[in-house]
Amino acid sequence: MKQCSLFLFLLSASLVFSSNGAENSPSAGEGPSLDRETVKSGPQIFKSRKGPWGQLEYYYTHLEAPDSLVKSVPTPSSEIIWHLPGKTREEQRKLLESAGMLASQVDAIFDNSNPSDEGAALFPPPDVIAELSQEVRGRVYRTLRSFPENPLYRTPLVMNTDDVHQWFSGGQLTSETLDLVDLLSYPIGNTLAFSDVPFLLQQSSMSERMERNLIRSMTRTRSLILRLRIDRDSDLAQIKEYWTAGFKNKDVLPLLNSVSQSPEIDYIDVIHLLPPIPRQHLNTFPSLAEGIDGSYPDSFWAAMNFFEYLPRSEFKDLRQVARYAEFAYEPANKPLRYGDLLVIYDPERDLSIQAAVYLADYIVYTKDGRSVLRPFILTRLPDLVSRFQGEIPFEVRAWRKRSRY
Amino acid sequence: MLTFPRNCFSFLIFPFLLVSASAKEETRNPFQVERLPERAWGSLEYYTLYLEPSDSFVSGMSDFKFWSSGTLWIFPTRDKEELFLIFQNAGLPEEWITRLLVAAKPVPQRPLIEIRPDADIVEGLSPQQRNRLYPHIHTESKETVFSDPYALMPGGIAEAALFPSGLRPELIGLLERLSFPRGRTMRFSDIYHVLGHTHSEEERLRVMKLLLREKAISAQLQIHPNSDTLKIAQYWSSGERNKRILPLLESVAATSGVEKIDIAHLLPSLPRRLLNTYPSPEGWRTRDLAPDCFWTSFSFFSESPSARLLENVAQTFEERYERASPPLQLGDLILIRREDDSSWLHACNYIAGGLAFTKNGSSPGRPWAIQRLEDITFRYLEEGKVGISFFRLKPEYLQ
Repeated sequence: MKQCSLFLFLLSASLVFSSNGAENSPSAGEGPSLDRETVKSGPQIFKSRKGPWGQLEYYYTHLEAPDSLVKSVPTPSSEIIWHLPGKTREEQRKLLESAGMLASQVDAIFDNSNPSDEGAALFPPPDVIAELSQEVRGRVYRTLRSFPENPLYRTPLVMNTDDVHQWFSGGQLTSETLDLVDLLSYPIGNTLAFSDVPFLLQQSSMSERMERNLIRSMTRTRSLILRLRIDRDSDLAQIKEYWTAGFKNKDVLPLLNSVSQSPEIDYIDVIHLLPPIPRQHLNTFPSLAEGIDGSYPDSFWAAMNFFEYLPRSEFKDLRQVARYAEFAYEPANKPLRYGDLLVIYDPERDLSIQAAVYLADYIVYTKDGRSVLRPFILTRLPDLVSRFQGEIPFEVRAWRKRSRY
Repeated sequence: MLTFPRNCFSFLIFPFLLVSASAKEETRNPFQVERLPERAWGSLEYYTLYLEPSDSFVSGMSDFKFWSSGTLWIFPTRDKEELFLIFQNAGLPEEWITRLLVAAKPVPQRPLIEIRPDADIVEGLSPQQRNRLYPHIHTESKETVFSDPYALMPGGIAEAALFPSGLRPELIGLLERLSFPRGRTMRFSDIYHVLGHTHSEEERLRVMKLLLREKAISAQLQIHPNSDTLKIAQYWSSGERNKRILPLLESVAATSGVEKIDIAHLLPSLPRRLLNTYPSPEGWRTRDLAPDCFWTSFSFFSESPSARLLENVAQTFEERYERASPPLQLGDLILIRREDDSSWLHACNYIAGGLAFTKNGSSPGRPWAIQRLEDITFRYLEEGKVGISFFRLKPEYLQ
């Protein structure tokens, strides 16, 4: 994939956020808001800061893929497999030991693998997996993540919490399984991740249904239900101006006009303020039909189609995205506005990692990767980038769609 | 309007939807939150919004652009005797008839007579006189705002104006006086006359928007600890057809303390994206056809709706639909038809508790919205005796 033009384009954009803290001071009205005010206890409802978007409130919701999708995806083998391709046994040993594994643990792995098969897969015994400390696990799995042959480590379950039990609360995992997930979870960026699905599948008591529940639980993704509060103090003219995004989202105007004149309406769900395509997809998983042309929507497809009336399938191709972005977008001046395109970018690898669309107060619309098991969500930008912090150098850069598009 | 053979549908009139000439207009507080009794769909509450088309749409309408030309009546005749009979049958007093005939001028080289009526006559017509006279005001080939008047929301101007419009009370009063009943619905034709009383373009926009107002329901599903979430999920997922909403519904139901969720989250893909919006020129259309009630209702469960449906809705109906047995389900097709000639007047989709998803007509000035079924059917009561029938996608079809 030719990234050069995208790289130059990226450099021209506004830097919103970066892994080294540049441009990252959350000064009033600018940086990501890390402090949120809880409105009431129970289903923690949070308030955004007030801004031209008005006053937003949100609560978290955890989405798990429906059974119909889970059934369409093959269950991974219960065998734990690590791929370190192109490495000799000695190089593999060096990699694992430099990540903090004990020589005896590496020996146990090699004893369990085929010793004559240089560079081939390793088969760690479950007891070695279980005894790794969280820190060592994090480092080893970071090594594994750099090889595309390790999908479970490359795209782990990321939990936006440090409490595994809380993350899965209300789900279908047994407390024994949750204890295991807790034991095997590891730090990624500023948050927690989990990759050891095969380990869990080795638990002898698992029925097929339980296996499916487990896979389903591993798709758990946090999203937001976001609403705009309307009260006597609301600056309705400013709110209308903001959410119509310079006329790019003019369809919401009739509704906003109506809501703004209804004295008894105290809030409106932000789903009504989204353009047609994100409104259609928000908090749902892709349908199998959406992959009919050979690939499924990812974050770039979701972001580039944000203001389109009918979805454009060419946005599944990152080269087309880059080509289109070059003429249809311009660097976004601060403050960020509704509909601005944000791209998380790794300058060292010249790689665009993920795209998102800015809504308000650092709440964004995105989709994590191309998998059908990842939904279209709303999330906070700090949560979105937390997995990259300390892991890779990254920048978040912002563009705005030119007014003629 | 589509015509189908009489035997291609059957009637299944649900008592709460029974439409008759005795239907009552209700005066309701438009801001009041209504609560529906708990059923398979759960517990719903809703309030009414009033939608208006955009400034850009209204300012492109010919009535808005050419308002200053004033009121002009055109009759498809050159025969003043015939004109006299039209006025007489409409119940106009002799003095007005004389003045109108004096003002009548033949249109050169066309079989038409045009009249510019005096303001006192325009304002003095009774609703009944207006209703009898205006259907005659059109050219030999084209409807006018008199023969094809604005269809007002149930309750007419009085109800539309319950919601703030920014108009002077005297203008609202004038609009109300000049509106007239046709069947059980209220109509309005004298737009050129009323716009002549406005002081600014802003005021003219507000008048037009008031006439084009549509009610739209905003509904929330209430979730409480005793909710039968399995039953609710079954209802809203509509079998396999709307299963995409299940993860969210299950999540919300499992989140303690969450009391309600906007049902926009629970609608299938297409109505979710169209709800409370007006048609876009970029949307599904052919050269001559634009999305209407039939395209909308037959595409309800469609992930990727097709413009082809604009052309062959009858074929789709015959192949994919069967009579719906009670109780009604999410997405059931509701057809309103004229009983005397079997022609179809309207179609919409059942949502829950007497609410339906609808697009009234193919005009870009009419939004997609959830409305009360009684408000939807109310529009068609002028069409003589109408029947309502209910259909459901056959089990083998997901969309």
